[in-house]
Amino acid sequence: MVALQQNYEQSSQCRHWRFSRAKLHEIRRATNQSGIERARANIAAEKDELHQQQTQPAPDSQDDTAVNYLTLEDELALCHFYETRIETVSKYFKFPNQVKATAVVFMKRFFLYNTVMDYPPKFIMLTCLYLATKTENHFIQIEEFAKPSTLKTTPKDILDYEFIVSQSLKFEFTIHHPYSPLYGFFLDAQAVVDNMALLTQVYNKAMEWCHKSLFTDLVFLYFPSQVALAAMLLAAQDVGWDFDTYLTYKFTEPVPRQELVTILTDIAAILKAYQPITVTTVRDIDRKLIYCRNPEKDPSSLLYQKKLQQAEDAEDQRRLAKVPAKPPSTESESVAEGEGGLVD
Amino acid sequence: MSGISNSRYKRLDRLGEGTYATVYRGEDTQTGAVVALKDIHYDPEEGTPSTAVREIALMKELRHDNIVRLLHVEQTENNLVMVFEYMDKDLKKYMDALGTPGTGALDATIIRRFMYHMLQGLAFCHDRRVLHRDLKPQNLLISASGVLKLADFGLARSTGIPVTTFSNEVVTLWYRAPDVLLGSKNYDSAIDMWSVGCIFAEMFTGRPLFPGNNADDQINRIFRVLGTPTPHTWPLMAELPNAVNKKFAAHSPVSLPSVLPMMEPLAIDLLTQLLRYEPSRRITAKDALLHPYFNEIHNHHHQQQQQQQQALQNMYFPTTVIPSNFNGYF
Amino acid sequence: MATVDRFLPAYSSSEDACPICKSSRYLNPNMKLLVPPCFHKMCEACIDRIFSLGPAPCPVCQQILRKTNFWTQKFEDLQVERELQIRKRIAKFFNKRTEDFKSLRLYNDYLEEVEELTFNLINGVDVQETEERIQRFAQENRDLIASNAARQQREERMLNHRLKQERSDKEHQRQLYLQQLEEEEVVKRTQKNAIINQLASSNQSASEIVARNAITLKKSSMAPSAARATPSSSGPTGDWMYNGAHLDDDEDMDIDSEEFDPLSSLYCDVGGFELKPEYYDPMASAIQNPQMATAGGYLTRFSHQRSLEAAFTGLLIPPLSDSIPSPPS
Repeated sequence: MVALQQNYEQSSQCRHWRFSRAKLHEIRRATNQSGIERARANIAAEKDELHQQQTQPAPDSQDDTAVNYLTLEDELALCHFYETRIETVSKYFKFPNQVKATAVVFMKRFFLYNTVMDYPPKFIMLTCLYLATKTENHFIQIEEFAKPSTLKTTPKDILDYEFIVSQSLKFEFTIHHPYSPLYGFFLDAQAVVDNMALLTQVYNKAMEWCHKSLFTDLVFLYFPSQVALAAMLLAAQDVGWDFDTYLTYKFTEPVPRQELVTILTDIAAILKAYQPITVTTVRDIDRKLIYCRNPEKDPSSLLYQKKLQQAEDAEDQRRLAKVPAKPPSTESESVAEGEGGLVD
Repeated sequence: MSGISNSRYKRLDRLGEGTYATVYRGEDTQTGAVVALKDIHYDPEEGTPSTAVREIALMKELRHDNIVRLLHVEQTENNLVMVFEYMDKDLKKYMDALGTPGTGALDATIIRRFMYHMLQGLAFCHDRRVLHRDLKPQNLLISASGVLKLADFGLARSTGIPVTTFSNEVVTLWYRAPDVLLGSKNYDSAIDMWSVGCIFAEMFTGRPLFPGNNADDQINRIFRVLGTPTPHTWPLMAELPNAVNKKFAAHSPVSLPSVLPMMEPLAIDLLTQLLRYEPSRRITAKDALLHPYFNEIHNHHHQQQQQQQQALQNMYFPTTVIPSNFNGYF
Repeated sequence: MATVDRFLPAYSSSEDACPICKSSRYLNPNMKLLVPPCFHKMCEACIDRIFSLGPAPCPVCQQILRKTNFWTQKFEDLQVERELQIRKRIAKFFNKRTEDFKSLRLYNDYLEEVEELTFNLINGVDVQETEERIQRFAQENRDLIASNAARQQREERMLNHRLKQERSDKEHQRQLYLQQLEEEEVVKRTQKNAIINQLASSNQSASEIVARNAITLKKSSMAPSAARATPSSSGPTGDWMYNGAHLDDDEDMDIDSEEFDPLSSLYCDVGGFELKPEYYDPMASAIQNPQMATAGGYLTRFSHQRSLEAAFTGLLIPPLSDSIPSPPS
C-alpha cells in the first residue's frame, strides 16, 4: 500500500523551492561566486575589444585589479530593495496582494540561481511583476504596464527577459502565500473569540506581518500556513489578544503544541528582525555594480554587440544568404553609460 | 537574446491548431519517445500569452493518471514548447473511429470506464481547486491503452478566495451550464459537472445532447428537454443577469429514458444528477464516483483485489493481471 | 539508406514488358522484371532460361552476368535505380558518422567528398581515378568501416525488434481486451443472478436487498485499487516509449500509475479543523450580489473550507534541517 501523500507534498513549491537554511546559503554563495568569475572573464574580454577597436581609449578607472565585485550581501541587499519596489509599483496599478506577493517570490527565486551582475534587478523586477499578472489572472496590456514614465522602461525591456525568467523559475508559476491560510485562521479562531472587533484587529495587524514576510527568506524555509500563524502570534502581541488560548484549544496535546511553538517562535524572530534596506546603501551597491556588470549580458557593451553580430553572422551563413555581413557596429558606448540612473 | 537551443524534439506531423498554439506530434531525439508538442505562439503585444502561462502553471501542479501529463517545457529561439505525453485520439475521433458506424455511439462498458476516468481526473482537479471550464469531447484524450485523460487546460483556472469574477465566455456553447449561459460569474466546480453530463449522454448517442446555435438557442434546447425551470426546481434563477425580467417559453420536462432509451436506469439517474439546474445541487465529481452506476467497476476491483490477495497467500501469481484501465484496442 | 529501400514496394507498371521475350504485363500479370548491374532488365523467365547454367553474357550489351546479380526494380527511372546502386556501394565503405569527426566542419568536408565521388561515378567523370580513391579510402579505414557496419547492423536489429515488439504488444492487448470483456460479462451475470436468487429465496423486501447491495458497494469502493492499474510487465503498446524516467528535469512528473482513487485517496485530507456552518465572514459579505452568487452555485461553505484547509496544510511540518538537504518524500 502506498503511503498517503499530503497535498502539499505535491506542490512544486514544496518539492523544489523549500530549503534548509544552510542549503539556501550554499546556493546563493555558489551563484555569487560563479557570477563573479563570469563577470571577471568577460570584463577582460570587453577591454580587449575596446582596445582593438581603438575608437576610444579604455576608461582609466577600468583597471581589472580595481574592479570591486559584489559580495553576496550586496546582492541580497540590492534584491531586497527592488522587491520592495514591486510593492510600490503594484500599489500604483492597484494590483491585489496576490499579484504583488507572487511577483516578489518570482524575483526571489530568480535571483537564487542568477546574479544581479548578469541581470539588472530593475528590469527583472518588472518582468516578474508582469509575469505575475499573467499567472494570477490580473493581466494587463504591456503598453499600459510600461507606460508610467517613472518606470523608465519599454515593453521590449520587460518582454526580453520573460523567457529567461520563466526558465529560471522552471516554469513553476504556482505560488502559495500566507494570505489564504491567514483568513482560515481568522475563521477558525472564531471558535474561541467572541469579540469580532478584536479579532478583526488581529487579522489586519497579522496581514501587515504577512506583507513583511514577503521580503524575508521565510518563503524558502516554512509553509505559508506556518508563516500565517506566526503573523497571527505577533499581531496578538501587538493588539493584546490571548493567542495561547487559541493554541491550547487547537492543540490539546503538549507535544505537537510545543513543536509548533518552536516553529512559530523562529518565524516570529525572523519577521521581527526584518529591516528595510535604505536607499543610501543601495546607491553605493548600485555604483559598484556599474563596474562589475557582466558585459556579455549588457546590451550596451561591445562584447554583447560582438556576440550578437556573431550570432547573426552564423544565422546568415546557415541560411546561405549571399548578403555580405554588415560592417561591425562602430557605435561604442562606455560601459558605465546608461546605468547611472538605476536608483531613483 | 538567450542562447540558441536546438530543440530536443523533432516535429513530425501537425495535429491541430489552437487559439494560441499549434500542436504537433513529435519525437524525443534522446529517447525516441513519441510526444505531443504544443508550440505556443509568441505574441509581440504581451509576450508569452497569459493563457499559456496559466496552463503551464496549473499543469506543473497536476499530476494524475487521468490528466494528460506535461513532461517538459522547452524554450527555443522564439517560442515556448509544452511537451505532453502523446495520446492517440481525442474522444470525438475515438467515437468516429470506434463507435457504432454511422452514429459514433460507444459500447456501454466503455462508456462506464471513460466516465470513471473522467470523474477521477476531475475529482482530482476540483480537489486542488482547479476548474477545467472547457470540457468537451475534443479535450478528452484517449491513450493507446484506452485510458481517458483530461487535456487542454488553457481556460482552466484555480479558484481561491471567494470574491472572484470569472469571465463568463468560457466553455464551448454545447457543453455550457445553464447558470453560465444566464450570466453567472461566480461559478464553481459545478460547471464542469454539467459538461460531464452532456458528454455522458453524447457517448451513448454519438450526437451532442444540446447542439445550440447561439446562447438563446442553447438555453432553449436545454429547457425543451429538461423543462423550463420553475421557482421550485431552481429558486434563484431569477437572480442571474440574463434571466432577470425575462420570460422563457414554458416547457415541461421530457422523460429522459424516452430521449435516451439506450441508457440503463442507473445511468439515467446519474445523468439526472449531473444535469441539475441548481448548481449547488449538481452532483460533485467525488460523489458521482460513488454512484451505483459504477458498482460494476467497484465490485470488479474489489474482486480482483481479493483474488490477488488470495493468490499472494497461496504464493501463486495469476498468469495475467488485467489492467482494468485498458478498454480499447486499435 | 539500406533500411529505406527495403521498405519500398517493387516498382511495377501496366506497360512493363520484357525486352528479351516481349512478354508483357498485360499478357502475364505475374511477370517479374529484375535488373542486372548493366541495367538491362528482363523477366524472371528469361533469367532462368539464360543464366541457369552459370554466368552468361547479357543479350543486350554482352556484359557477363550471374543469376544472383539481379535485383528487384524499385524506381521507374532506371537512372535513379543506377544511382541507388552506386550510393549503396559507396555507403558500404563511407559509413563514417558525425561522432567519428572532431568537428562538424570536418564531417561536412567528408560528406562533400563522398558526394563528389558519387557524382563522378554516376556521371562517368574520372571513373578510373575515382575508383582508385574509393579503394584507397577503403584500405585506410578498414577497421572503422567494419565497426560502423556492425553498429549499423545492430541498430537495424534494434529497429526490427522494436517493430516486432509493437506488433506483438498490440496482439497481446487485443487478447487481453477480449478476455476482459468476457470476464466482465461473467461478473455481470453472476451479480445479476445473485440478486435474483436473493430476491427469490429471501423473505426480505426488495428494497432492503437493494439497500444492502448499496452498502456492500460502498465498502468495496473504499478499498484501494492497486490491482487496477498494474500494467503487465511487458507493458501495453508503446509503453516502452513512455517510461523514460529521463524525459523531464522534474523527475516527479514521471511517477506513473500510482493511481489516484478519490475513494481511498492517496492524499490525506487536511485535518485539524472543524468546518462550522456559520462564520463571521467579512469577505463574503463584500460580495455585491450574494443572491446572484448563490444562484450561480457559489457557496460560502466552499470558500470557508478552502481557507481552513490552507491554514492547516503542513502546519506541523518542521523546517528542513541542514543535515537533510532534500525535501521529505
